Amino acid sequence: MGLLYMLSLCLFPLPCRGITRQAILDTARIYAELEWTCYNTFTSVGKGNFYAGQKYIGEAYKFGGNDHWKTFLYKVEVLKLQPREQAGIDCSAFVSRCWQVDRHVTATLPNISHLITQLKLKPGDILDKPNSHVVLVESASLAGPVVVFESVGGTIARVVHRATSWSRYQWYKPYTLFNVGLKPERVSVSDSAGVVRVRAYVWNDGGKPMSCRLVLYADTVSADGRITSIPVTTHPRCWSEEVLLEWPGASSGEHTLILRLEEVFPDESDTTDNEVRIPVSVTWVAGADGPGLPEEYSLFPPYPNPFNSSVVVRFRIPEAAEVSLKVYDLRGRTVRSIAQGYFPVGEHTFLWDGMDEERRKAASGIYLCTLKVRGKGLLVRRMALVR
Amino acid sequence: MGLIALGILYFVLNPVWAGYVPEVVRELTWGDGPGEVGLIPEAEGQEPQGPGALAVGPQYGIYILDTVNRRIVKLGPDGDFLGAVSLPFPALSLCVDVDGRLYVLDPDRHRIAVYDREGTGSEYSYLTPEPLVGGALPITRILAYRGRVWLGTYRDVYPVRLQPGSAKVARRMEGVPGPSGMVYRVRPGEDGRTAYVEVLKDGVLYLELSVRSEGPLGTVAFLKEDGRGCVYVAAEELKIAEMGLQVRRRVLRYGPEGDLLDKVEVPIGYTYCYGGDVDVDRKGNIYHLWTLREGVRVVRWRLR
Repeated sequence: MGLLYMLSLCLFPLPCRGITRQAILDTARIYAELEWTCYNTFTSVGKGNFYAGQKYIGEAYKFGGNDHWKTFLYKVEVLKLQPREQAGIDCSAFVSRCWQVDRHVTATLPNISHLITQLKLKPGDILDKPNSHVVLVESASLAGPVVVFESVGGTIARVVHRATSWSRYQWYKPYTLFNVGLKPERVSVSDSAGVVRVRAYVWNDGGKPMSCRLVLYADTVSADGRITSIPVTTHPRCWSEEVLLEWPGASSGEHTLILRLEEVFPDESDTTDNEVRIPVSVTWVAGADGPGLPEEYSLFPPYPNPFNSSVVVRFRIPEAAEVSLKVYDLRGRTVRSIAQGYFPVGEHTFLWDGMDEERRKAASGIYLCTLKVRGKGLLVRRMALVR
Repeated sequence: MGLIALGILYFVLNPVWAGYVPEVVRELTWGDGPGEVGLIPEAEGQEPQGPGALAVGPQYGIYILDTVNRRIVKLGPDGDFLGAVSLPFPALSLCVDVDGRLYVLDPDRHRIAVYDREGTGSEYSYLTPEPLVGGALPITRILAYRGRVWLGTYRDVYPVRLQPGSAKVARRMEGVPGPSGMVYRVRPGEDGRTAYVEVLKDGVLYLELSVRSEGPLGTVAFLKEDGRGCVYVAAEELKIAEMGLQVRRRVLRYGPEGDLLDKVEVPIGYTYCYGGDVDVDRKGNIYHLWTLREGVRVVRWRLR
């Protein structure tokens, strides 16, 4: 294998909370449909009225309040405390409880969520105006109203479920809870270039079938701000699934991985996506043994190299295995899948004709040939195409 | 000076403003006295509460739903204060039928109240016929034309039969009816910047009104028909700005053939009116309840 390098990968995963959008809305509905009886009258002009002996729907609003719905019921029906004054929940506490996060206020909710655009609002996202008000969105269709759950003060003074027009949200910002995380997997290296393999964990709407794509970008911290895209090896078929990302030719230094989850809803033409940015530190240490494939697995140097029309790629495996032989360019895009399938023990030889998947001539340049053996690891060879 | 500045502001806000002249009918201050509406709290942490809705009667009287003070404030066509009707609950939506009856709705407590011209009221409670799950929109408004009453969402309606003490709510009907019997159904376009208001006559598509905007469209809703066969649609255009969502609201006036005749830009108020702060009278004049920090202005765009 020659001189090996060791790659240390350092990822700082964002918090993975594992809550589904449906769970967020289900929680909101519990608060909005909570039926309770008032035993201690509260009346105030502009702050709502609650009369003893009457039933109400929706937990009462209380500025600064953070009562779980069970606590609220206990306070107003057992301890007979005054709703609105002594028991209730405010808008940000309500959102925090629905999101199942620690108590946040309107000014700090953006710290645990992503700013998105109005077009990307989905059920369970919020419209937030710091130091003012926040609502939980149930639906926000184009040319339609915004349907929200909110704990609202004023004469209503309860958690309600209602439809309003966008004009109510002048200067509100749409946010979505962090919902995509990363965790590192093993890495494999070769003597000339390495491939970083990371696993992305997509955890929303557990088990719900969906149609979506996941794309990972690496933004190198270079002076020219060059962006390197990383191919996605396996796409998620449902939420709460791990997906594999490969990053051939990862260079040493500080990077930012931009993980973008793109969703295409089967019943709508609308496409939405979520994005997270994660700092990644890649360090190569010369002379150390890398966690590549065992010695008996070989990806031989391509021949001829450089090549003009075609190149011979040969590999050897000591036992039958599922193998994938692919060519990537230096930007990490898959150029051609040469071989894929279950191969018997021994040596196997393939020819790459310098064409991409769509039978177009690949441009002159450096290409990476990768051999991936399922359950074992990955080897990489560098090839130069000269037209 | 204030009126001149207001006029200049509207002129700036309405570049396509062609046939409408704005005028302030009445300036109201915050409070619960005669000629006052809403509440601006003195204490910190308490929200300002503007009036809930505005409606114009058949004789061009102006009715303001003063939600927080549980009353309807009545103004004459020239803005003179004519009195108030007390309400049993803090209603969020208001409408007036051609006979001058007032209908108010409190969707949170499932209550309807109806008042005749003399101010005699009847109260009704109702149950929605279906749970509001699975994409059904919550009820937000009440409509009444020629003895028929509907509870409405932004997109569709539930016919209502008023009985002594209670209201029987029938199954949901797609679209929102107008006084002429036409039904208006909003259909979003595919590009996010276009929507269509389908006009249905006896269930058959009769006309299609197109709504276009430069930015993404917000809510598009059928507003009113006037006595000349014109249709009024409220449309919002959204823009992502540094401060958040910037919303522009317009009232679009379409002719009987579906041609767009006028656009009037309605400013976003200081407080939000849950039941609708814009109405149109039989002559096609547009009324807007404009809430400001200093007070509430009833603005009328007079059709020239």
